Amino acid sequence: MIGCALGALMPCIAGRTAFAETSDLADFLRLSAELTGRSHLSVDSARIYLHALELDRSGSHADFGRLNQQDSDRLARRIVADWYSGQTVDSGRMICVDYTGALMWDAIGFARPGGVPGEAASWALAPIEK
Amino acid sequence: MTRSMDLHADVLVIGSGVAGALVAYRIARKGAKVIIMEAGPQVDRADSVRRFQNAFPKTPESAYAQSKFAPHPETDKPYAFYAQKGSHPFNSTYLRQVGGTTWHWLGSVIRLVPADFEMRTLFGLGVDWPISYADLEPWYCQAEQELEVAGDDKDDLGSPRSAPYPMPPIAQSFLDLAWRDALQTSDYKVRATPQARLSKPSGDRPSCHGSASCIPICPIQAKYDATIHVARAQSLGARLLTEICANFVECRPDGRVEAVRFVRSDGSMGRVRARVVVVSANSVETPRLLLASASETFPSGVANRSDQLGRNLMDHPIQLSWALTRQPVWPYRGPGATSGIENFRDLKDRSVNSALRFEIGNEGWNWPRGAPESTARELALGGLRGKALDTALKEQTARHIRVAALTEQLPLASNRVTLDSTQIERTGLPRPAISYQLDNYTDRALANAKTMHEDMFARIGVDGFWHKDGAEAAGHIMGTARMGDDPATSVVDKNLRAHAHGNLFLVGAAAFPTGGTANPTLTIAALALRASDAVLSSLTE
Repeated sequence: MIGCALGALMPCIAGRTAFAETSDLADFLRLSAELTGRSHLSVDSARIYLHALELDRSGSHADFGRLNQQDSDRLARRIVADWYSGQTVDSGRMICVDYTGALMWDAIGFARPGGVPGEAASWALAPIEK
Repeated sequence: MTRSMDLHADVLVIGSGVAGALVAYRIARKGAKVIIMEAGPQVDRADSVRRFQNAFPKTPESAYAQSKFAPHPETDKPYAFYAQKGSHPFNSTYLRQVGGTTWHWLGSVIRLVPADFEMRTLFGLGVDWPISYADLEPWYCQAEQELEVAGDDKDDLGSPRSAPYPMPPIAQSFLDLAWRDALQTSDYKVRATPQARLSKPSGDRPSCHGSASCIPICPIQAKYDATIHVARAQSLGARLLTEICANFVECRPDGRVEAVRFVRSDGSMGRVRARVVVVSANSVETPRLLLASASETFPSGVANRSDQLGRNLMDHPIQLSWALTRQPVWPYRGPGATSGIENFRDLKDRSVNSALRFEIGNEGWNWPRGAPESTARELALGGLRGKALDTALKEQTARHIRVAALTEQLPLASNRVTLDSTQIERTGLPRPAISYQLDNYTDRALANAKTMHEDMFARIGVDGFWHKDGAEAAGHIMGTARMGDDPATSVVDKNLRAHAHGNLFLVGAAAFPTGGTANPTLTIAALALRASDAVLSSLTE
């Protein structure tokens, strides 16, 4: 199913010079939702992740149209890694895209992003399972 | 450039970190006219929290805008600010802004132990301080009051106390208690760390709510920072000048400071004439200013007849180690560190082996690995997805631990701050040049710490452990204007007054003759309060 979604997105990517157009973004969001299993994803973050992917693949647009299974898998992993960490690689440099909104916080469950106050002394106890 | 009219004060305080803020507050309280001069800007806390959250990497400086006028060193760019001249890059950093480096300090407030003041007498190393622990002890108590330190009165950490802590202790983390229980039968005694963060509300400051971002910023100011005493000094009439950098100390032939020249961020210049000048600009900026103030009368710089100014630069080189426990310990919560192991700070074999202070981190693998983000990426790039990814991420991050051993670095004359005259900042100051190396004493300390970390990990039960290669910087910049009784071998006397300059005081960790293994801020605060009395006395001279 994910392979189909990637397949649906890739010709679209390959045929355009810029990813951040509305239909591409919608496709990317659909694909991201499918890959991460999360339905509420930030459009602003999606735009940046998509743009970073574009930069990462710049100069090889023609190859996008002929993604093999290995490429698709690598791309899927990258998209999940970006959403979970809230970071992406932009022109070879790691950047922070959405620290507090990174999906890892929901997955981790017992900790909050730094800079977000919690309950006094709660760190002394084992976390309460949701 | 334009020259503005002179400013006048009883006391000019250069630098608004913990030392300068406390001195300014104490002096202003007595009714003296005080000017606080700060090279950097005021900081907006909410903006800084956002900047930190949006930053990569999340270094101690990541919450703060870099200033073109008065830039600060950055952990991830060790060669950008300092002109590195030594065999080992010096990578402890500081901030140039109102409140100084207390914005990104951890908040641990440990006293030195009595033996730290007598390294030469007891162990034949370094030098003795010209004051004893007993001399400083009442000032430690006052410093703890000012910083509203939370601690456990019943716990003996090796530094005798004559007064209780002003605040009840901060709760140790779940993770600390796992360490404590696992090490119960060993020599490693896990103790709650005294901290300058509120364990209950005080004034308009809330108690600590475990925001897990002490370094680089507490979003609610539960952690003490020096803006508190800057504001108190201002409320007592002190005048705060920001984005104004002192760049030359003018002295009369008899050594007394006549005035301090400054430049504003708009390029305009001026002078402050003060009866007493206090330089409290940290252990790099203090010698930097005084070395840059060389004149015909003082050709090697102000307060440098001994040639000791800038020398004996010290840090607490750290052995950083981390591990994956077998049981969950739930890190990434609470203050950065709430416990340590203090009973290796006062050993009898310090002539051979460095004292060690072990700090147990609550922030998992954030320091060594940039986790949890790095763990999330690693697992996702490894092919995990959906429920499997969520489960693995939680299961792994819940078992992240790290320990940092702070070692005592002996004062070496060759470890020093000088000036790089090929790089002149907009303040008119040359960039600081740093010559720095680690000696065999430190190398041995780091090796000992590695062995002890492995012993601890074995007792805790881990599925793997790792060591950082080489020393990590602690951010504890000390030395460079050592205090002593002999003007031929030191820069300031025991009251932090410059030997050859009757109305000049150098307040801060620069005055430390040796560094012990205690995080230095409480000792800086105690010395600053003690020096304030001497500053006040000098106003009547």
